Amino acid sequence: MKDIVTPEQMPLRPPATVMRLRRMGASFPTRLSFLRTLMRALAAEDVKVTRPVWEMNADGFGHATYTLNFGGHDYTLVAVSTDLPPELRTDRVIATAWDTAYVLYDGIPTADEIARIVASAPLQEAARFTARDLVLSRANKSVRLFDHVTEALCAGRQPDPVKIRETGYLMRTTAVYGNGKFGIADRGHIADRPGMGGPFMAEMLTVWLIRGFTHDLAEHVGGAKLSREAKRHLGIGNSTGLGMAPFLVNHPMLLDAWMQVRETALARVRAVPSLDGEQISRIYELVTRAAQHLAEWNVPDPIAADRIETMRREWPQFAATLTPDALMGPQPIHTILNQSAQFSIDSQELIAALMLEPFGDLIDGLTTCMATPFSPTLDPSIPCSELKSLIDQDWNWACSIDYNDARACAQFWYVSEEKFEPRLGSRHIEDGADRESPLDIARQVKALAQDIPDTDIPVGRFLVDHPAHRAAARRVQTLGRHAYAEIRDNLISHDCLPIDLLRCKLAYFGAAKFDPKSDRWTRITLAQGAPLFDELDNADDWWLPVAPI
Amino acid sequence: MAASRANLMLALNEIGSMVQKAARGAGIPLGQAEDLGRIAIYLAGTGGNVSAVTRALQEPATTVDMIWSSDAVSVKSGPAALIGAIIRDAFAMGYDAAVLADLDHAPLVGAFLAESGVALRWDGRVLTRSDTTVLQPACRPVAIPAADWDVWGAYAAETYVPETEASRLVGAGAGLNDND
Repeated sequence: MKDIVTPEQMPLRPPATVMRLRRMGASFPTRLSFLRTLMRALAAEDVKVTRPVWEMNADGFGHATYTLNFGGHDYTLVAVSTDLPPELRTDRVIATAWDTAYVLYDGIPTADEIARIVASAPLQEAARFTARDLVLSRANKSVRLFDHVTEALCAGRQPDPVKIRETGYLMRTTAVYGNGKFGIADRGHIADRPGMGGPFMAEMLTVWLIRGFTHDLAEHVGGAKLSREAKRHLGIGNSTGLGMAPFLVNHPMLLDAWMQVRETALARVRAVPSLDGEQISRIYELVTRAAQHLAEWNVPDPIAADRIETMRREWPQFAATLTPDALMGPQPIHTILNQSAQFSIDSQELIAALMLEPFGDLIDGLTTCMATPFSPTLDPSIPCSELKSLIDQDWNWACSIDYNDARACAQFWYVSEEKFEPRLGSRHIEDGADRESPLDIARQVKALAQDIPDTDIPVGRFLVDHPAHRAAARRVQTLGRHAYAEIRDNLISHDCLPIDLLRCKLAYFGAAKFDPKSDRWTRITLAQGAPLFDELDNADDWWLPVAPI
Repeated sequence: MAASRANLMLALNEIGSMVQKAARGAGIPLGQAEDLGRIAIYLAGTGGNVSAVTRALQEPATTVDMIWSSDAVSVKSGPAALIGAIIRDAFAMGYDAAVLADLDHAPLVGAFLAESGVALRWDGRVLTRSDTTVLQPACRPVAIPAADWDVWGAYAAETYVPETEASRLVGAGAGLNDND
């Protein structure tokens, strides 16, 4: 059995380094990412996906179901494809209609249940769902690529590999709802099931099944089979906006769990005393693959493009440091990671993600620690002086800011009345700051720091007279126990870029090919290079996928 | 909102999220609003009556006046959402008894304590620690009376910002031309 003896490890990178927005916004997927974890779990069970229902007209409109048994439970994706007028097609949350809609169903649905979902899923947020519905999602076609692929297949040829590489997916999901939204099952309903305990496992299962559906739909409309290589490189796109941004702030213990696992994994590989020949070969192979991935990662956003260009320029310099002597020396990964500090933050994080890849036996077991059943709690019995010490210890970055400075409080988070979705406003220009969402954690803690006395009075007694500080006191205590629970930046500052929050979370999902469309929404690709339904025996070597065609 | 229909079955997470927002909209401080969301989940998940939450939202925002003696904490005045958190804290600090000023606060205060694992014995407005076991919430959909849900929704709406065309485009960070 693995993990009975805790492996050796070096010290973890400090939260003051790791939990900065700029570095979080440079995150890359790793073998610990949720989609990778799910693929390994599906492979371990040799899961078989079947397609019991395929009721689709010649144009590809209708519905289908995909069923699998995983961890002793049946799950079914119900996929609904509808004819969407082009003028209604938008990825943004303001959309009211989509090309396709999906429900991951708990069990095997009856005909009546399928009919219910076929009627309700296309309505998305405007409908109500049941506890048998585990995940709700929708996706729009990349019309340009979907049409090209189907037209090529109709003409008896395979699609142009260049076009497949340029887009990388046939459809983009624009929302993947779980955990009780619109009446679907609470996460607690499935969290204890084998395979479903990790974060976002049901959501990841859904997007992987959707990806397979997009392949089937294109083949159905095109009237011919896509090559296996083409399908393998067709992942599932996603458009993500501010709706996802507050999650990491509102789930500090989950954020800590994700970060602790990744940083512990890095600390373990740092402690590897030496590399064998196979591991050295693997690292060289991955360095080459990363170079190709960088070459294929082309985005129009000038800031992102510039960062990618810097990585492309630095990568050969990095590769040149990986001499046989360096890799055969003592604690080579530790040395490599230390020396990576000479490169940009983006390259540093790419190198860190790469160095995890060859060491599955050492670190994959850590993924069982990425979910937590616990919520932040307040211990009211500690003296105020102790809380004050925690603030002094962990929150200097927050307390050193003057929040009366217009730039330090230039933005405010709010929820829109129209869509109940998070938005970001300009405090000094727009109305609505009086209804601000409480993501100004740093400012809240500084306010607490200014009122907390350096005495032995229990915090609980202090909070009777200062009830407004209860949330901040709880966060301070939580960070004292969970060092990676807070983003150590001012989220209302003029220079806070929500895209950094999005990228961090999406990288943990397993996303790559980040394609920012502004500082607050991005397109990504998921499951590119991931095994197809019948390839789960080849489940785990698709970190930073590169074009096989 | 679709959720204003009668006899609506709701997920626990929907209930907690809505009550937390409603509490903020009602002017309850963030920490107590977070607590109240969890209490709503606890009450709903254990088959309790969520009207105690609704009443807490509707109480006027007043300051708390308490007397801390050596063996009990006594409420002189204050709203239930603040009182519940304070008495839970008091029990966590070692107190074994409390006296309420308003008997109508008993269901919510009881839920605050039960949610933290503390069972109570009640004698009128006096509550003391009991050695019985508290109920654990079950994770299943629950029916919430429309009257409660509507009150929660109205308070939650106080946290929403009306959109303008400009804010919709800028606040979300994109226009509509995103097809490819």
